[in-house]
Amino acid sequence: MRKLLPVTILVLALILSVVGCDQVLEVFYPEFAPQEEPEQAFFDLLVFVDIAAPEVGEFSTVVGIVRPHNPDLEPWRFVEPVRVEYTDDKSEPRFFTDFYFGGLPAGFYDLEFFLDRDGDGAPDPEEPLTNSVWVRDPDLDEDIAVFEVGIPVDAAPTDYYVIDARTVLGE
Amino acid sequence: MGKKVLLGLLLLALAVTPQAVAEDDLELGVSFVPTSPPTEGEDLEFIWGSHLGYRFWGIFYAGWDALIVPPHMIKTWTPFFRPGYLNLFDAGLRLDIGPLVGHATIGVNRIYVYRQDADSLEFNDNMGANLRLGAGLKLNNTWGFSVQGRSIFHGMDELIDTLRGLGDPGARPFVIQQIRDGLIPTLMVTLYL
Repeated sequence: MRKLLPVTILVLALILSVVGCDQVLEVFYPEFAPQEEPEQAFFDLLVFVDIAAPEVGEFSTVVGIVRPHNPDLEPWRFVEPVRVEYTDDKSEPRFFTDFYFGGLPAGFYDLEFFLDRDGDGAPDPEEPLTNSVWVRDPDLDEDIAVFEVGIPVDAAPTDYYVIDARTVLGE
Repeated sequence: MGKKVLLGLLLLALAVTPQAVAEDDLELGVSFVPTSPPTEGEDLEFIWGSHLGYRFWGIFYAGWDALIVPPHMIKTWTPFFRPGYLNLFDAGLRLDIGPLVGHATIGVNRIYVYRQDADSLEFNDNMGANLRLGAGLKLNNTWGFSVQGRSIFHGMDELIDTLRGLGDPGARPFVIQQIRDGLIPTLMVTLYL
């Protein structure tokens, strides 16, 4: 028995060294442990929409829809009138606006944005934006899948998630 | 010169503790390393660590220490502000002279960052090499305590060059100073199985 003990402990130590034993670190630093009730966390979402447009001075409407994956929640829909103008740092005419979605429960959402010149609430058929909008997380400096923004389920209540969405028209 | 010293230590161990040669034993321990707090004015922090050591063939020794490193220290070594482990894998000699226990080991250091595999974190986990010297008391053959000094080097090559420098009378003061500068004191309580 005495001879088996060292071997047993060494094997356990090897296993621990491989898996890293995150649970021990969570005991010493509980603030890093996963939240027990992530469904109660809320966050704010700020989306910048930057769309290239054919001409300056044109008026239109940008529609933003946030579709929760949680079937118990209704989608949020926002409509924002926009006017094509030059931006400071771009030589091309752009639609530029932002959408603020406050108090979203933590979870996964699909984001959808489109131009709606005729005001019928549906994307303009001649300008299918849904294939070209991309969503970017400036904090991570990386692109997130188009219309599939994974919001961390353990987002803290004070999180402020900023996403930059851009697209190009007239292709 | 180095070989003569090593041979002398070996003979000393064999002469003083013949009964120890026949026995292997396992060490389980807890260590405390004092470290500077992240901001000035705060109390001195202690890094906790777990220790596992194994003495075999009388004087040979292998050990693993896992130090629980606070996020602000991990951030200085990696891009991540998370807690983690500094794993120290050592091999060397352990001499038992009566109740006195002495260690002399060298080893490599590796970092583990919290959830590094789950979150696919990429970073250089190599934290160089270390030289450890320690002395302590073994009580009732069951437990003991020791004070250890561990000097961290950028790599095994630098560590070996430093050890070679100890044999050079001209370089010895500089080398000793270099070891002192990187010295991390550690207090360890050990259970012997």
